[in-house]
Amino acid sequence: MVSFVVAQFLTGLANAAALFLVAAGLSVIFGVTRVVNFAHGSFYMLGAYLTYSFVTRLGTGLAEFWIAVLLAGLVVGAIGVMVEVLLLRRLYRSPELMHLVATFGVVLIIQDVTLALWGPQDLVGPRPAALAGGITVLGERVPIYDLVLIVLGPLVLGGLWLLLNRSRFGILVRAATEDREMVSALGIDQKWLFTAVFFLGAFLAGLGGAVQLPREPANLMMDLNIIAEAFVVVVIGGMGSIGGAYLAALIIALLHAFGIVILPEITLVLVFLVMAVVLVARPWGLLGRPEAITSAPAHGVGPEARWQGRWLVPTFAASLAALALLPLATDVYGLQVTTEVLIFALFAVSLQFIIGVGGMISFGHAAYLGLGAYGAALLVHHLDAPMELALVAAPIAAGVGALVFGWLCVRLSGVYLAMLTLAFAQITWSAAFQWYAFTGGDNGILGIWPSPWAADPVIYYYVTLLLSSAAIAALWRARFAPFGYALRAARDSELRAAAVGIDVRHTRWLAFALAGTAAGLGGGLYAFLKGSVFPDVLAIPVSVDGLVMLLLGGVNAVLGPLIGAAAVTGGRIALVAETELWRAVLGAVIVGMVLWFPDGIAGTVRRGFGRGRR
Amino acid sequence: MSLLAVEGLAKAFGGVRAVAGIGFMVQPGEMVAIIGPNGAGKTTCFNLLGGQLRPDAGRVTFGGRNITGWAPPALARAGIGRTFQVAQVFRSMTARENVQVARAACRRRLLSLLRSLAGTDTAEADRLLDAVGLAAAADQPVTALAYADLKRLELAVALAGEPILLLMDEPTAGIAASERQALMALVRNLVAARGLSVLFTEHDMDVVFGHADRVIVMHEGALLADGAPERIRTDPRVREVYLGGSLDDVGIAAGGQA
Amino acid sequence: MLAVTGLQAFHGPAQALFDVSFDAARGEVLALLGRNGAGKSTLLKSIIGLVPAKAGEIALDGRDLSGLAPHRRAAAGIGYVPEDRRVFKGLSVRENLAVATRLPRAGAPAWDEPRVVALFPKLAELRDRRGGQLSGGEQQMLTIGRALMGNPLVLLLDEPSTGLAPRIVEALADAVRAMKAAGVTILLSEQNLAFAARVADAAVVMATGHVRWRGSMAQFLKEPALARTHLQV
Repeated sequence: MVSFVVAQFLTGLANAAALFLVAAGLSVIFGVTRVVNFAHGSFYMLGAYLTYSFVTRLGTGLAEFWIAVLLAGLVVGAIGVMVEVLLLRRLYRSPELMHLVATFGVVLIIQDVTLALWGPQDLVGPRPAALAGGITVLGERVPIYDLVLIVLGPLVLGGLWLLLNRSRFGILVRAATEDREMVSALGIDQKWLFTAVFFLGAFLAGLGGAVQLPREPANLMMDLNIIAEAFVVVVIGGMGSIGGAYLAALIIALLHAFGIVILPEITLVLVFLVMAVVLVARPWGLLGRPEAITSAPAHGVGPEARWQGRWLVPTFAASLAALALLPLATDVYGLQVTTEVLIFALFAVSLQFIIGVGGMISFGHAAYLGLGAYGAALLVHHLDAPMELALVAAPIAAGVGALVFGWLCVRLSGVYLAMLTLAFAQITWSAAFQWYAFTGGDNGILGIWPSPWAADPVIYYYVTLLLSSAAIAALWRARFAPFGYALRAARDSELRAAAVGIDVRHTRWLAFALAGTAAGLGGGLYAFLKGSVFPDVLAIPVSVDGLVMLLLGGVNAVLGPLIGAAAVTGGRIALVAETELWRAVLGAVIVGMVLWFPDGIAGTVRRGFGRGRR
Repeated sequence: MSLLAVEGLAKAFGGVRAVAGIGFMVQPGEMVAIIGPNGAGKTTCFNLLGGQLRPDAGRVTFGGRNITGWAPPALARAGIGRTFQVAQVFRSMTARENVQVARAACRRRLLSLLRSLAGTDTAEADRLLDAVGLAAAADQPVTALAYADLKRLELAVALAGEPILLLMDEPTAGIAASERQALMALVRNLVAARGLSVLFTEHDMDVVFGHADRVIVMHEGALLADGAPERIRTDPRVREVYLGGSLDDVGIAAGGQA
Repeated sequence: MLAVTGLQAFHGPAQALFDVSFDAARGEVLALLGRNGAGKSTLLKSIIGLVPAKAGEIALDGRDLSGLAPHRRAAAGIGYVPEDRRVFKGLSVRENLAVATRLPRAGAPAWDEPRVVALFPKLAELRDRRGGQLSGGEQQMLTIGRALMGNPLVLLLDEPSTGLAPRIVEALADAVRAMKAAGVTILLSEQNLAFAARVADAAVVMATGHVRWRGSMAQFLKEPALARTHLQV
């Protein structure tokens, strides 16, 4: 027993190394530039692929291996510099939401580039012969390479400490993490400093991927898997704290190492509980500093467009009338696409309730769509429940999930909130993915068909139209009710809102739950539309789709999410049909949109109109 | 009985004692100014009273209730209104909506999801806007208002909560000198009509001596003087902290009416 | 050395500076006098570039600085000591000084760590202490020393005497005179008239964002009405 515990402990320590490298890079970059780099997981993935290529060319000797690792880190560092100079440098003054979305565009592009260069199959990296064996510790065999990684973690930690404490560059990085305005007032060019920091952070992520290669084959899922874990690590450890990143990486890796042998599903619960305890006790993380949590004003603060109030009801009614007549004009396929658009319109409107009205950046809204979909599907699958009951259960399941996660989320703001929502979404995704006995894992749940009376696509279309538009109308009603105004008031000025007697945290919590419930209804409808549910519905790309819908339509425009949902859902279906490289195209569209049309389609059009009218 | 009683209030930031055990009272219907040179601890003191900061020590009693360490929403419900140094308003709304939200909060209607805000308390909101001279701007988005008008709007928003005591942090900061007296005269009339008390900080001495019933002087976190304006004006210690020495010390020939 | 012409600036939505003009001669100590909220801090911030100027010109030794980023202004020879000091709390005294290190420039006195320590001997024993652990007076010495490390032509001191004990203010006055003797031009914002009167050659009186009076310190002291109207209670 003791030997087993020791062996698991060592495995955990070894797992922590790569996670620490990624999280440390993320943390250093955020500390100085205030950018949360979503593409950090992609840098990690590139590190692994590049090492594979270098090792296969250079050979598998010990020296060659380390040269390959170092080279991979340097190349990734250079790619990081490219991303910083070409993209982020233009966005430092933009809201945090733009940083996250733009760097997610980079994630998509890197995914397709990686696919094109290295192919879809997992690439098993050769382990250098000298590191291939194992030694026996208390009767359990431990791979030598694990021991190397166990030593590497503290070594890098020490190296970073020296760099940050003993070099002028490090002093500047630490000074800028505290007060970058003062640093510039003392004559330091921030541009240069930011680029250098980005190189360092990307180098660390690349290094993390490189040293992970002998333990885990390079694959195309590495990027999002590690970034979600790195977010967890950074939130627990404290943004900007390297020591905190190491500590938190150890905690998470050990939780996994021990959880996996007891019950894999328990691991997720443990991770969640650890996050909950840390965030309640120390919202700024274990070794973080309280003052680090200051966020820029919430996105989209500005006058709400007036005309929408007057024209909202007629526009909505006219759209409903047109949609009601649609079955006369299109075939079954067209109806199914439109049904999907309607579901995502509800999803986007509910996300807007949190982000646009509430000023809380959620990066994990797919969780609630997914909880609704799985809630409905599980009820049908395990209890043979009818569609009607499942559609009632779906929003309840999602609403309860949103109440639980939201309780923690509303304690944070800005990017911390964004990272936390993403981490929670990833926890639900992992639950769906891993819990084979209950959720079917990646085989999903099949055979979720509507009740016989609604089986006809036309009827189901009308069911969806009715429920979605009713839910959207309800959210709009809430938006313009005192509750919605209180939520907006808290977004506009938290100080003032609290001073007139608004309990900001409770208001946000309730809004979170409300939006989650609405998204859950969408999830239930989605399950019966597709006839099946897979973990994909909970995955990060769905959350990001929701964000892109909002950005396209304009974060604050009332009708924006509807325009965005139609454009993204329709665009995606068309793209997937037209090109293999749809991810890269989508990524490029996202990046281009953030750079050139930050106000979205509706905003751009309105500005054009506005010139003539005001 | 005094409306507000502060005893031994203290707050330190990492070893620096910003407010070091201060005590004073505000009587019903009184307008009291807190003044002091930069760094005297006025803003910290205000944030302790307004619930933005929690005191390390001390006791604050309001209308006989111990309100020490209460959060802002609770203070608002207890009857303490607040305006800020840089006017805080809801920037995405019209002037009327700003007041309507505050009314809804005061009447505990915030959880209402189904009624529309636009139709609630409209007449009341308009009366308040009229009282601060913004009737014509009711439908304007606040981003279109001049800064002095934002200060007026903030006053209306604070009054919408039906306060008994108004805490005003630098009510005239950032507005032109010519508009300051008008704004303070407005405050004066409004509070007199409603029987409110006001505690305010201010650096414009014309405003302080023109409108305060009583003046409290803070210096280095402590209370230096507390009394009628005429007494404060002639208090040599007060002159010293403002100039770093008496006029004689500085080398300026004393004399003439102060 | 420093010439400010027609400067207009905003603090948030409110205009804080209205058509501010003055100049400071080489090696002069110029005191900016006025109460809280007169616009002194905003003026210094807009000279270093932390508050953008809406209109007007700032010229350093004949070179126009308008529109430049703060780091370029610092590089051109402006040293800034903010009112709230803004020492890097997690960095040691030495590291705080190192942040601003810059190669010597022509026409300006060259400063390095030993020379700064000679000016503020107290810093010698505090070299490895973190900025956050220093007392108010020590922090003030450190921020001034830090600004000097950039070899400034003009040093902006924002209310350096605020919150300091009389003995420390005394030491500060000595330091200001020493820096002046070394050839640094100093723009000193102050409410503490006693302190300003001891070190300044000239004065600019500000109220509500306007310049109300300009002249020599001696002249200012001869007109008690000025202090009474613009500084005193």
